Amino acid sequence: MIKISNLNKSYGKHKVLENLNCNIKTNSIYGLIGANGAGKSTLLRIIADVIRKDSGAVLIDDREVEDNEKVKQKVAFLPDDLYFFPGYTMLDMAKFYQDMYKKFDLDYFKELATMLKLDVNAKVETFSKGMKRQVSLVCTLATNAEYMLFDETFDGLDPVIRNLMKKIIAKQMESKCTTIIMTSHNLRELEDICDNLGLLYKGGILFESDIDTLKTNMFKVQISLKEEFDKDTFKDLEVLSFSKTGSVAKIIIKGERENCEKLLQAKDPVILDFLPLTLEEVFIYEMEVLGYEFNQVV
Amino acid sequence: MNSTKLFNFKYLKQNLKKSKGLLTILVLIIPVLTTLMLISINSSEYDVVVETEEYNFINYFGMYIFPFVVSVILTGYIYKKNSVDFINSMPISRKTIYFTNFIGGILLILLAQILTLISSLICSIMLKDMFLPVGLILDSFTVMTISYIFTYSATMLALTLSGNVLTQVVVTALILFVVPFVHCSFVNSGIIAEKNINLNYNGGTSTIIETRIPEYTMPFNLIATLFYGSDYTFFNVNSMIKMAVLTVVYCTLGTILFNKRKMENNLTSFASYKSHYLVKALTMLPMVFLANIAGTEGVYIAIVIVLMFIYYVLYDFVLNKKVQLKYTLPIFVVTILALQGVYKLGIEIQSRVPEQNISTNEIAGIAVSNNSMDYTTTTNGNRSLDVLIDEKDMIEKIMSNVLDRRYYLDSWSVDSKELEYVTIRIKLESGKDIYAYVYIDGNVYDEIMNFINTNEKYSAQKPENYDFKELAISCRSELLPTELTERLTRILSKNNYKVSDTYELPSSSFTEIYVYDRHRMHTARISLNIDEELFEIISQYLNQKTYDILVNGNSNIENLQANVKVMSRVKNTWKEKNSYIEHLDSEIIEYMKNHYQDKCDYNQELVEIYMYDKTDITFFTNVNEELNKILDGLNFDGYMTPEEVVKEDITELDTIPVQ
Repeated sequence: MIKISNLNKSYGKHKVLENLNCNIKTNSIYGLIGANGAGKSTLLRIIADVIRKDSGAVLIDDREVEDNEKVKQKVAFLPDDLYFFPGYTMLDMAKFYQDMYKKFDLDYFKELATMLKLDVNAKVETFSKGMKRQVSLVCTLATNAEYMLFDETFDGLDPVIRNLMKKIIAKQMESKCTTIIMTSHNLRELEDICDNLGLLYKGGILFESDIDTLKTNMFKVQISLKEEFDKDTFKDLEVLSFSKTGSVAKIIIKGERENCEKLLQAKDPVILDFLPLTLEEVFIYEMEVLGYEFNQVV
Repeated sequence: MNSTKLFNFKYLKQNLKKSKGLLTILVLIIPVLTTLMLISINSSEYDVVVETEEYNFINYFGMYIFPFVVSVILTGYIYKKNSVDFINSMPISRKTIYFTNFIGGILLILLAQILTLISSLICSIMLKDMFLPVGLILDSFTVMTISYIFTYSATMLALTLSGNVLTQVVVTALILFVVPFVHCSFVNSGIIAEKNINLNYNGGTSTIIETRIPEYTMPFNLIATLFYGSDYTFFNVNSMIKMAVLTVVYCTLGTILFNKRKMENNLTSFASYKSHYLVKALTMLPMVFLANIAGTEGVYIAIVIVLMFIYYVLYDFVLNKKVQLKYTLPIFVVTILALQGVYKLGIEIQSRVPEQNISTNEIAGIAVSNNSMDYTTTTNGNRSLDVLIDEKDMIEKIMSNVLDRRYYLDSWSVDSKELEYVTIRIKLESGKDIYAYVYIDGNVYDEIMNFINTNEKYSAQKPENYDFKELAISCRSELLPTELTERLTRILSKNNYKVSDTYELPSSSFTEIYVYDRHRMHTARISLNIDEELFEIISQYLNQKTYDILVNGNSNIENLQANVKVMSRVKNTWKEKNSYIEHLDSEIIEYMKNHYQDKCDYNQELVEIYMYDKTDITFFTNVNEELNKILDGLNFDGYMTPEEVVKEDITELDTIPVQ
């Protein structure tokens, strides 16, 4: 488990992270979203001990990560801005990882490379941007680290490779009990792979929840009653949004679906349809509850 | 510290592997260039002995460049964000990264120096036309390895503090030079505030200025040689100890600072502006000091300040990539005032140090060495500074006759009396040594030398008592072959290595002996006519060489139009007439070809025929009718037969004694 408490980090006078608190469960995929400059990369770089925090604590399995080689053996970080040694082949890079990580699996590395049709003997500098990202992903996955930190993971990957990568990452999480933190400024990119989502805003986690809860506890309803009605008609429900066109209203409701359905049926509706919500819509309404406009935050 | 945790071999292996091409070139460049330089010296017509400064010429540059480049190759990843993300996220602690790279750099330095050592040893065996003592190679290896490692520790420390390569250059320079520069300016060389020492002898006072032999670190010593014109001792144990201790200090400090380093700082010069301004101010320290020394006129000061301000702004552009003009001017003013304050404070402190007074009874002994004599070294000419005269009368004599540099500079043009420029070493009863460059009356100097030479007590300490294991002998600008050198060495050994101790020698003495001992090259001229046996060996060798040149050489000797002279030896004295002939006649060439194997009788009248082609060519022969006839027939400019020489110069002959 990664436990972050009261984390602060400034670059000069600019505060990037401010009293950030966050717990990331083991064996899960945690999606961290936020606008550019929200502090996502900084947070990952601190967890990976690339840079040092100003204050607070970052504990991995209850041990401080800073300057701790044993803990760092459990962490693999794939940064946004990739780096390869000049003149190195993909295999050379793998051997570097192998020398660094005790659990590095060269066979698994080759298996993934084959799956992605990457030539391990070719020089990395001859690869395209997307292929370079694949090389880094493959190397990172083959470390078999317990915690993997992916910054803007799918940048530059085409949709096919992106989906394939998501499957590989999900499989890794399941089969090897890996905990993964992924960042993106695009919510849609993370919604089909993450178990939990955290929204980073102005140096702190503004909102976090597991996706299942988010999706099952909020729904969109299209409703029409025989009599005239307005928002007050649904006082017994937690209505996040209400809009009415003619005799049909669209309502976003938060709560358990069974209870809500029972209460709505009791109002004897002419029309009652439960419509699916995208994760982005869920976030938008959650932000509105908190008094933020989603577009300002992400 | 746990060494197993601090050093990670796998990381080092990978780090070296990633730059193996560049590192290979870097490691090979010093031994290759040094070898090429030695080959060039060997082929040179003038160089027969490789001196310390000459041998280390490449190393002197390498000492500044090599460690810096190695530090950037191994640890320079911290200057780029993506490489910082990559390396620092690896399961290896920052301390381990730093220490492993530190050791890696030392290994590369050792490798380069060992290769230089091996290639030089091979050169010293293979290249026969120069004298490259093994002792010099080993001493250079020791000194330069320590110096390289020291510089490397400074560059690594600078790297932990800097945000880019240019800043690292500046910080390295500050670490290496600021403290010794300030110390040297005010105290050691006394360039800013010289301090007098009064020597109080019975009846008067002489004033000297102490000249301390700089014992700073090698990187500063070299710069100081250019900057202050001061000498330094190459193999200086104190300097080496200083470098070794500072290396440990810098390594420890660097490891701690690297662990605490703000790794996000990889764009600007420093993480904080305070550090940037402080370092910028320190770079201006020499400018302010030098400006103060150079002058105090209003216009001059205004120009200097404008130039400094331009530098101040350019510094920001180059190192920090941005200029904050609203802060620049006030901070510049504060900086200049602060540095001027430091300068004035130094002067004030220096002025409060009282002049030192030394009386005869405080002196345990004085040694004197002629600076112009030991011309192969730049080490204060202190080859005979070990010979301490402790007779009070002689000490008084020396004290009453020394003139400091200022006196000489003020009066030399009006005072025509002969002065010797010497180094004196005054050993006080307290054990302290004081060195000074002074001028001394030529007659007094001769008296001192005579006193040392004739006194058994001092002659036992004389420099001839060197270890002659590493020895070479040159004759007419060429090293003698090994076999001949060994024969000569045996003769010299029988003679207890009595070598001439003076530079002003009779013209017939042209054989030089080189000895590498006590970490220094010593040179002395030995007289050819030490004895008959020695003369015979040398004359046979030279005649054979002349024959070889005349028969096999590619020079057109007949067309030589100058530098052919004949010297005659009569009554134990060589007389050079400087008689030139326009070209060598075939008759004399034939004579030399026919008589090169003749045994020269040293006790008969001799003629030396000296020519200059690409090198010195000498031929010895006894005077005989055939030769006289040939010489008479030549168109000599004022040639005199030996008999004529005797008649004309009979009074002069006794004034130039044979050694």
